[in-house]
Amino acid sequence: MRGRTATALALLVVLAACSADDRPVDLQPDGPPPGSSPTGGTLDDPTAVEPETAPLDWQDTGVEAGTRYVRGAEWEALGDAGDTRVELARDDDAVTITAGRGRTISEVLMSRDWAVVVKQDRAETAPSEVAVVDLGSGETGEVATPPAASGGSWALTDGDLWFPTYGDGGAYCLATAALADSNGEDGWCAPDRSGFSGLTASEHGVGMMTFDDARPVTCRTVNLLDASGVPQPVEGPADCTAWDVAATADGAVWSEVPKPRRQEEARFHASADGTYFDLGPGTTGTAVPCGDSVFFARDPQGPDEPARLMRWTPDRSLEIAYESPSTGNAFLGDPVCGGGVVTLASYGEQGDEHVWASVS
Amino acid sequence: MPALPRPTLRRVAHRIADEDASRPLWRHPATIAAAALALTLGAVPLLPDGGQDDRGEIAPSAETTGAPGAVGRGGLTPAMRAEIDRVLAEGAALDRAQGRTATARASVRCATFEGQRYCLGFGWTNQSEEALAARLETRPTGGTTERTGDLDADGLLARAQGRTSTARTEAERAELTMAARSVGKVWMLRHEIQGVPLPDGFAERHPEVTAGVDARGGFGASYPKRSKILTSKVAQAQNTTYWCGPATMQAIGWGSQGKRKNQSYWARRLGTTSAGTAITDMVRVVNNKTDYDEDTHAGPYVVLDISDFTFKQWYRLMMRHVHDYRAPVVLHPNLHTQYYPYLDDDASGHFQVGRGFDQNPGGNPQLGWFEPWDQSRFDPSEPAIGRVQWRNAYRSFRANLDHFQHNVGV
Repeated sequence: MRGRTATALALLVVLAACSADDRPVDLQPDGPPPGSSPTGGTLDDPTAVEPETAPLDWQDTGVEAGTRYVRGAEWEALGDAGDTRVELARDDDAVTITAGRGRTISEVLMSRDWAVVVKQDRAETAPSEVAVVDLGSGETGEVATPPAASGGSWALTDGDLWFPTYGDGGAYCLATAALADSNGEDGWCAPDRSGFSGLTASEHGVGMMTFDDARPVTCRTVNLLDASGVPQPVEGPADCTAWDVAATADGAVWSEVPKPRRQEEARFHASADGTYFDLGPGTTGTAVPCGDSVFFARDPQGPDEPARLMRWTPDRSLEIAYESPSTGNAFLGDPVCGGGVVTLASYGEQGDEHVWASVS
Repeated sequence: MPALPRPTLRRVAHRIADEDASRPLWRHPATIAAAALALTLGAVPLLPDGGQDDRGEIAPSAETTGAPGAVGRGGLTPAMRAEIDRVLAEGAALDRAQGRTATARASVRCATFEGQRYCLGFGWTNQSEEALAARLETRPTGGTTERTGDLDADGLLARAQGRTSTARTEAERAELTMAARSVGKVWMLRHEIQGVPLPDGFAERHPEVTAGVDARGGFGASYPKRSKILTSKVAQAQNTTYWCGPATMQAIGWGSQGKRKNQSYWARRLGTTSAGTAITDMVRVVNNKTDYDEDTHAGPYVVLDISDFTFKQWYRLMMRHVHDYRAPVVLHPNLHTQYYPYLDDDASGHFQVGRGFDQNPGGNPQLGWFEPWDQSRFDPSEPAIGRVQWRNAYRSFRANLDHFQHNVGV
């Protein structure tokens, strides 16, 4: 089983690398040619990046902020208030996925070609059920093996789904499924008394946070999966403080939580070809790769400032992709990516918004 | 990673729940004694608080540090008794109610005490009975959520239907009596926080309140930049998935009594079951088992609907409680990922301990709180975080508003 996972991962990375510039498989090197983008600093002295305002072309979703909603390139997925069903719609096409008795919808993921709806057991004792929709044909299917763990972190990129499962002896493992053949397999398993979370996936790779069982605060490490499907720590974060992570064309974006008592306040960084950038403050747990970029949310930094969605681009620039209409008392929900389209809920005293925009 | 696998946890949960069921809280000797005490105390005049300079007027919350300016308990007037009897009599409709809608409508019964409306299970509110019943009629959303121990609409309805008429009447009489005797505090909160004028003759009717005049002006200019109460050691993780109430109460009780009692002690007093804990029970136990309800602190705790509060008013309530009253707030948020972005999954309604503020002049106002929910205990996909937290207070306000009851214990 593990061998198949490694093969799938290797294929993913190879395809990503080949599509860029046909260089050998590596998680690092397929970035822009040297000289065309800014170079960062050292690990100890990263280059601070000033953001530029470059708003995306935001459109109103037409649904209330807080509603489960994912917008894709052609399709949109809308959940009901009770998390009992998801309506997938495109022009004249529509597919309805219902949770079924004793289950609720816990995740809705979308890529350009696939949608995945996870149905969690309400009692959280039985494995989650995974419904799959081929967005080309509208046909539905499922991923039955390996059994998906209840809850946990999920990620989808192109036709590859990443999700938690339980392996031998109750080990908490990472599974992957190639949706085209509805076949999944388990791979790397977290060592005893450790776990993983914060999965992100893009054409550039799969990121995850691993952590131990230290108390009162776990020791956290952010990783990118190597070609064998084994998490390899990202070089850069201070020991035990990392949280978010996402692969980029030439490195990674990650966050650190410097003060355990301010869990939601993170500092984001990026690596690029072995150099380092300080991306400034952001909200813990909000990093998501989408299109060619990695996004994360930032709370208002002053009474007169809006909440912002930040975008780290392949050109190594930091952009302000969105600003909330409210200043001061405002915040953003987790940005959601659906096949190159980012959807964002914005909350604030001057009103909420729920908007989407194409990234590329 | 998890201390116990889920199936084991669930077995434990149901076993404890069954044990609770064998002796409902309303039959507990302590509860009966507390109810009897509440009924017999009557109109004990409580001395006004505040220093010499404050004598004869409402304690200026924005300026006090040593004088909390809290409100004591008032008496139970004949009009209040009659109102309580009226609402209790309407409870007979619950015995005949069939179906969710009828049960919800029969459950939400409101009393009006001196112009303030108190609704059973929801607390002091400006909402109509119909609006509150509609909240109960709506099935809890986010069924995927991990349940952390707040009694949701299903739980409230099940409890309403599960009680005998005698037990229900007894519990509701205690709840309404406690509420009626707290109406002076509710008026004062609405006056000071929301700017509602006090009614004519209020001071005379409420000697427990030093005769009040003006509402507090401004936002937080008179408060210190930052203030907090309670030592961090009282912030403990809940032992069981559905014990956010007992863990919250453990921290509050520990802060008051100076010694730790285990969460099972508090679960018994709160009447916690595997369905969770009701906020009305949280307030009842704070009033009965801590000194935070004394006039040297917050006065009698009340369940207060904040759905008509602005953020500034809500934050002011936090500052008043923490800095002037030196008393914790029973926070009542929805533990959803948009409000708590470090969580992997949405969780349910929840209890937390509000214990600090930081006006953070250069940034956004911050709230300090103790978080009993340690997701890592029950889920190998989530790492442990600190129990002591500070954060963007506006997030907590919105999480509070998102809860179907929209209330806090203050």
